[in-house]
Amino acid sequence: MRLTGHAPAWRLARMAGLVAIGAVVAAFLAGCGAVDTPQTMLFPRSDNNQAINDLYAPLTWLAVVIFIIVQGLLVYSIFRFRVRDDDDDSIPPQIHGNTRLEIVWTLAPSIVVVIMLILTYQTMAVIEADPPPDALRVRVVGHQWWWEVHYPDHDVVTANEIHIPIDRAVYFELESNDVIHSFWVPRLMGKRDLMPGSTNTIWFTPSEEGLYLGQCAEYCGTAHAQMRFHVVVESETAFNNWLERQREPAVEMTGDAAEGAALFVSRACVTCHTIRGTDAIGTIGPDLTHVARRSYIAGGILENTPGNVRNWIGDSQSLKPGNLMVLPVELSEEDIRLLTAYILALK
Amino acid sequence: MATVTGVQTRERVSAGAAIWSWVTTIDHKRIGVLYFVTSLIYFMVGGFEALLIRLQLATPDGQILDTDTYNQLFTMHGTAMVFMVAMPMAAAFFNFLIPLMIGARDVAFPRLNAFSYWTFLGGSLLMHSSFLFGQAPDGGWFGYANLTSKEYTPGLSIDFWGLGLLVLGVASVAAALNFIITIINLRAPGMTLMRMPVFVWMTFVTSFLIIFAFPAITVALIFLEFDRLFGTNFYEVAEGGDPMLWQHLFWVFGHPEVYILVLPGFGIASEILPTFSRKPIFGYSAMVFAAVAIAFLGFSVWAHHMFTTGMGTIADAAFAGSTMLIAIPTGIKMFNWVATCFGGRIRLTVPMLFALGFLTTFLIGGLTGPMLAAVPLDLHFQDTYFVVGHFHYVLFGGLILALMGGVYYWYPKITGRMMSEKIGKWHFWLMFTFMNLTFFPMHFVGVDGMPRRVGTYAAGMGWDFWNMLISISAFGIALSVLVFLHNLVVSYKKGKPAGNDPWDARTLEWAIPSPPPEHNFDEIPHITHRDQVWYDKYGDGHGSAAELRKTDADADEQADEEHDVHMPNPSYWPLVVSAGLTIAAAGLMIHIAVAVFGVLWTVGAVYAWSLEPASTPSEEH
Repeated sequence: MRLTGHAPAWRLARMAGLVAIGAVVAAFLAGCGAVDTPQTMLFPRSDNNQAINDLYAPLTWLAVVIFIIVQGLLVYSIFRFRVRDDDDDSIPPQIHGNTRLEIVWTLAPSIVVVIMLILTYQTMAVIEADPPPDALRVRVVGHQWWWEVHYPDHDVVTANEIHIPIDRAVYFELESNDVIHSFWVPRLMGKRDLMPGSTNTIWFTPSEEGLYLGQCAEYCGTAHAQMRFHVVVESETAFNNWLERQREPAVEMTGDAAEGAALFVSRACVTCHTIRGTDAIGTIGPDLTHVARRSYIAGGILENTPGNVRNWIGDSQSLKPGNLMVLPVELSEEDIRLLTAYILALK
Repeated sequence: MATVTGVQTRERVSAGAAIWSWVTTIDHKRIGVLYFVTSLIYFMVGGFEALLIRLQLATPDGQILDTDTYNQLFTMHGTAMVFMVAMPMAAAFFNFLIPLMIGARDVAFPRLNAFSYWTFLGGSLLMHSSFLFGQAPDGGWFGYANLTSKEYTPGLSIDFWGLGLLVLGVASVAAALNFIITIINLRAPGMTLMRMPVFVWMTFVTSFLIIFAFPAITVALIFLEFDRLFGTNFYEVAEGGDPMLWQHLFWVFGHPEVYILVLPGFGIASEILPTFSRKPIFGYSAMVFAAVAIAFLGFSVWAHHMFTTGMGTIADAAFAGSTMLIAIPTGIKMFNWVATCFGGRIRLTVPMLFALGFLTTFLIGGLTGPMLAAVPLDLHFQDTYFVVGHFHYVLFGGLILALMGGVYYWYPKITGRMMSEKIGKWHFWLMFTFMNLTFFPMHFVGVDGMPRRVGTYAAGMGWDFWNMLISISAFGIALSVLVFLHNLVVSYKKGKPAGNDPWDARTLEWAIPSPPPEHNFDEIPHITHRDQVWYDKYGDGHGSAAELRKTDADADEQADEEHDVHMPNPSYWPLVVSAGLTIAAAGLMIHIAVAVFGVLWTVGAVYAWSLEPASTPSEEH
């Protein structure tokens, strides 16, 4: 690179550009393996996800090494064979090819492909194996834009928050009520689509307790970005307690909550929602029997605080535009207050 | 000499006559220019949509766009960039260059060629007119059923999309047939298939891909429109239809489409690299056969877009294998390009910079490909920004950079003037830097779990910094495009005169004046060698540069002689037929009577077209 004398401005731009690209790549390499973000796929918390992660590293490094070799050859050629100021304008040898070299670089990618395929198939054999027979069965049904969750062997129905015990395999049966969605909890497992008209499955054994973020990964219409959910991995005991509680009907209401319960029935909420133990048996929206015990509401996008519940009931369309909770009547401030009290009491 | 391309002579005629001459033109060079300018406008439109998307995503909880608008923008950005930028811009090069490179006077069917352009324009305008009605398509560029059903997307947005694409498909298939027949039949004497420039080969292979791939999407779209317009049940789950049918049909088209998009880029790079290395392409036959292999394999890999749909282990494993196989011919091409540079006399002109930039970025896009083909990894990467980063490396890095290089390389041939090297270097370094800063961090946010097609995301996910960087860099790309436009305009007025062969190049188009006369070649050349022009200048490769000037002067002398050449007459019937087709498609959204009217119009116009004499008797010439 000749930077002496009068360097044209575009050369400085070139320098700045290459430095910037280098900085980003360096930042990546430095951060890779160290940055633990909430929804990353790089810090697996289940056996099958660990298997996937074990495939990620070798394939990534293989790609990096191939890039360095090929790009190195290219950059070397550019610098080595660039026309110099003292170029004699002669014609270089007109080489049309070299059979031996060409065989070499046909075989080289072939070998790399075979290696990658073997690694891939090995991992597939692990994650696509049948789940253990004692796996917990969970049925998830996708709706625009929330998740219906069933525990078929325990007679429990809930929504948007899936509880599972640690160290026990969990086997998801995935279905859709409307369009295609995709079930993805990056720290626990790769994604699987929820196809209307058929059932997909995926399984893994979680290895660490915690609250994990999940998100719909297949574009499914207006509020796709806000179709999120949570998975709670907890101890066997905590999970059993949770199941026990979920099986029960809604608690008895008193005071404002009781008035709210009456409004819930008279104000069309019942058309869509179920609250077991009451007259509400709608199936269009999420089951709310124990909604107050969930950490989040509105398809995993809002923390379950009194303020958020109130705002959601009052104006869900501004919080999650396009969502299908469209009230046929305007609610008064008092209605909203009473309904909020009711929802918050649904422990 | 007959009239020249027109770009140079426009000033001499009245504006009305000039416009009429462009409307009725059947000259492949002018049609090429029409394709280029139109696709450049759509490039601005698609780029503007991208900038709006990036504004929205620059910060968490972005408030610039509402959800529906966001969904429309990413749908139209993808659709426009694939069907109204990448394909027609490649078609611009096919049109301008193929007859010149094979020593022909025009394409095989000049009026059909005009029809392809006008049909492309009609289809693209039909789809974009949806913005006027607030009904822009919002189903994503691959429009997965059953979200696109009447039940889940009422209104006309999907119809604008589906019918627009159907019209565009007619244009693509007509053009592809035209190029196949042109390349088979109109090669100059002595130009065997294995003497064709690599760019011609890539056009040939691309055209075959188009005629085999487009029927699949046409069927898929007709099913979709039948479902929407006439209540059939191809994708209706409740009635026994299956949304997976759409995915299979779409990707049987969609994956070959990737090669339809990128092979022209391969072709352009394969012309630029030899010229500026002053060496022939390394391993010509391997380059050709690798492209053919990619094209064949491209039809056997479609379901790698569907690993998360639960096709089963066997299908997943098979498609992972076939997909990775494509790495072999692609690797061969990559090494041959590098070997073309090796041992040459490399001149780092702007076209060469773009070609080398293409090699670099396409390599990156090519290397993330096999990672995506590894099924377990794809279960994570699918539908995240990792994929978005991957295909922008392939399509922006692989195609747009190559097309830009092609513009700088052939601009002198098209206009007769050189583009500014200085502005060009600004353009290249800005574009190369900012495209990497835009698309590389997308891999990071993808790995960190950011799905594509989300118009809003929560803070604290570790995505904020990268998204801000991506958004800022996207505006850097926009800046580089402005520099490019500036260069196009300034050089058109003030560029240095180019002469026949400014780059000391190798293929036939450089043997004739710039811009080429309407009839291209005064005498159809006789071909004895691959890289005929280079051979004429330097013999078997051991001559000196001095000989070039001598032969060049001879060529100029020859060009002065007048020859009686039959050229077909201009015709407005292609435009009329295209208008009829577009009306028929639009009519399906308005009223069936309008559609019938459009069909009758089309049939009538085809009839009139076929009665029109192709050229006037020779005494009038």
